[in-house]
Amino acid sequence: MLQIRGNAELFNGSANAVKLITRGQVSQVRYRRTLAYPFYSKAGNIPPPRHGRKQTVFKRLMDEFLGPKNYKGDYYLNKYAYPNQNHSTNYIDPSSERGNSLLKAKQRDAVSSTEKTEEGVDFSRDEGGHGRQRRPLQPFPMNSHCFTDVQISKEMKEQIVNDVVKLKMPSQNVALKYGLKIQRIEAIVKLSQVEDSWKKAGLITKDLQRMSDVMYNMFPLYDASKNGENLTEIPIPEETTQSRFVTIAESEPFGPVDAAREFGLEPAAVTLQKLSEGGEHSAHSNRASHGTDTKSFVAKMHEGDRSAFRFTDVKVGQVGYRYGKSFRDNRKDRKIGFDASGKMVYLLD
Amino acid sequence: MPRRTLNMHSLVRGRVRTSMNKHNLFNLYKKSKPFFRNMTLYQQKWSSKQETRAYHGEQVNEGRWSTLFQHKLQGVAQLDASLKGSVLPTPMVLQTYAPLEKRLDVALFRAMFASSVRQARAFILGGHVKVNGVDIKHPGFTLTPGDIFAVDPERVLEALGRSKPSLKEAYKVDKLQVIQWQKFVQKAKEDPRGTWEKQKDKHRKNQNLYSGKFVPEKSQKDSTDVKQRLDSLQELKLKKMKEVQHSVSRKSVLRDIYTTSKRLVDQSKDVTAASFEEQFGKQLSGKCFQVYELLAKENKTMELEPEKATEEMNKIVPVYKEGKPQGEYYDDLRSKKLRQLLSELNTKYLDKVRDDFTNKPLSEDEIIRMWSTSLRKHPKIPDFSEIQEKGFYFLNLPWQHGMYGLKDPSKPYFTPWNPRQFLSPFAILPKHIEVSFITCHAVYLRDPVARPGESEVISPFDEDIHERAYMYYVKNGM
Repeated sequence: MLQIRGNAELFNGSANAVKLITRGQVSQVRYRRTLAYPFYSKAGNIPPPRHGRKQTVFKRLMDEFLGPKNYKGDYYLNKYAYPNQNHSTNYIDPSSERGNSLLKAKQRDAVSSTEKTEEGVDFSRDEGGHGRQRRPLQPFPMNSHCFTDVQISKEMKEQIVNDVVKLKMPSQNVALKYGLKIQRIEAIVKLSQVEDSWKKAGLITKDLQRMSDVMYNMFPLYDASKNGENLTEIPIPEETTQSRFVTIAESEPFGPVDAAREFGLEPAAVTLQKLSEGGEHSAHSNRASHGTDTKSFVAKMHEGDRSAFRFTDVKVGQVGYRYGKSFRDNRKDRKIGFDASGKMVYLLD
Repeated sequence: MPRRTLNMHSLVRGRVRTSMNKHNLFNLYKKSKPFFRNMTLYQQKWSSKQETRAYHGEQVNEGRWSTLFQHKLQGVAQLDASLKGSVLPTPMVLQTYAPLEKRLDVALFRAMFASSVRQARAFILGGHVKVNGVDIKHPGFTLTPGDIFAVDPERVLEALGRSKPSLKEAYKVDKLQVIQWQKFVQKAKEDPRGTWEKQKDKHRKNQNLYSGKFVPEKSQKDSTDVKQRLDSLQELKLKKMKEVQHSVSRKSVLRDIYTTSKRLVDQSKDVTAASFEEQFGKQLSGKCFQVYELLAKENKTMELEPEKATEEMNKIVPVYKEGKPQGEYYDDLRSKKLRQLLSELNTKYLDKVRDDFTNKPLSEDEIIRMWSTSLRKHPKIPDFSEIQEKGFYFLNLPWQHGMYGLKDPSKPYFTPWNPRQFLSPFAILPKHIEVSFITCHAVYLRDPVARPGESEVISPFDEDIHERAYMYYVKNGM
């Protein structure tokens, strides 16, 4: 016990110790193992071991966090043990709990703050009070730039499928109607087809249904007005990720359009248009035209030929081994690719 | 080949991993930001790289990862940004590990089809994963936008559900449950009211504690809500009424009258009309008495032995077959009158039974009484050595039918399926994958991108740490 307490003190005092020793210069210790004590633990506050067993400090701290265990092995009093089933998230909030993560019988305030998330969540809202940022869709307390997606309700999925399949609306219009990206609309339609075929084949078991219901009730529901996707997004052109220098006269006007010309970029509207094409349910599908630009023909057969040859245009370097090019087939971590049958192949690079 | 896992979830080291393990949850919970102020720049970069690589592609070797790393990061521009006014800065550095998200094993974990990336790898290597309908056995398979991948549903149920107990573990749990149940039944029989109140209190507490949460054993039969119980009783009542109605006939009425009066005669008490009131009610008691008088005075049935009396009664009301009486029977005027009286009694008594069942509401006391009488002790579970040979045992408790977690022992997961503990803090719906849990299919929409204010790469670390990790890998940066 004494030794343990000593460790904890070392940890908590470490920041200060380093400061004292190294005022003005940073420490040049080659390797120091810093033990991952909880940020909220204090030197003297080490919980007692469970059932008089011999336990390490870390195990004790974990047991304190997990709470009591019942005969089935459930941590039945832990907030995070059982999933929420009211379309709200249940992400950890260590900064306000500080290790005390047990359910309380009367927690009106805490419950209401999570219940608010039921439909549509505003990203920018502060939650939890205390002037701290607590956002219901943020799963990791340390990363304020990561958010979970919201679930599209079953009814809305049905409507989307109905619009695309029965009403034959182009996916661009459906995307606009629901505030979802075209790819997502296409995916929803594709997945609903799979689901229908599974239902027909009777592959959906009771357990599977139960699992999907639990997962469905665990996530907040999508609301187009609050968390609609931005449909005007285009990938940042690769050319613009590095600087280029041009010499111009001091008096010469130079705006974004000139810069785009300098980079050789197309207008963003054209890019956006291109992005919206090509889906299976698109208004102007370019699937059909896709095949025509690869030139391919079967050569004329002569008498005595046993096989017909098909010739296809390819770029030099993309196929085959080019004479004179370095080719280290024994290199470590070579680039890999996969063929249509799922077999791994080493790519030529 | 990935590294061997040695104490991945060490609480002392406290690294956050791509896993839904409870140790990992605690490691994530207690994580504090690295103390960069006292470190040299290289130390900062190194420790950031350590932290982030422990989460991102821990299963990928450093050499393989360095071929995947791209120093140009992917982001999006929003064309309506100028209309919105102020736009948040884009956290581009969070894209450092974006190339890993294309890997099939990572995508499987992100889609929540596996409880850790290591498990996702195992699923892929075991041949349980298909991409666009083709079996893929390479965890490093690179997904392209539009790919649809699927996992064997049983594997997903295994990954997201509780772990399947062994026979011994299930037996241990069930043994305890049965012991507790026997004690409970015993108590309920001895003190129905007190036990009921206690149970009610417990349910109220649990409802408050677990409101809006998934609670594993919730059974309708277990409810102490009086209204709910009444609803479920209604059906039972109708069934019972039918049963009673079917059992009522002229003969049964006659026998009832006989047994009631016989009991009184044996105790040498006077038989009056009032003595039939309890069963037949006030209105019918007079007629019952007439029947009794006919029986006692003319036939002298009351003085006979019970067997003889039954024979006598069979002669008065014989068994009919195709409209004709069978066997020996009385055909005199008196018996005819008796039969007529009994017919009238029969129809009226049936009406009375129906009225009693429909009009009389059950009070709470009655419900509690019914509840306590309906509770049955569970038959004893045999010793484990016996069970081990057989491989199963019978168990039927109000909240659990079949062995604990082994209702269907042939399945590789906990049956009936229950979500694993600590699932919700790790349940993060990815923005770049559209998931369908019911079919265990998912569509890889696009490579994750960064947009103003957020990044689609799911990571527990923020910009400051990712920035230093990125600097570590670009090398020529600083």
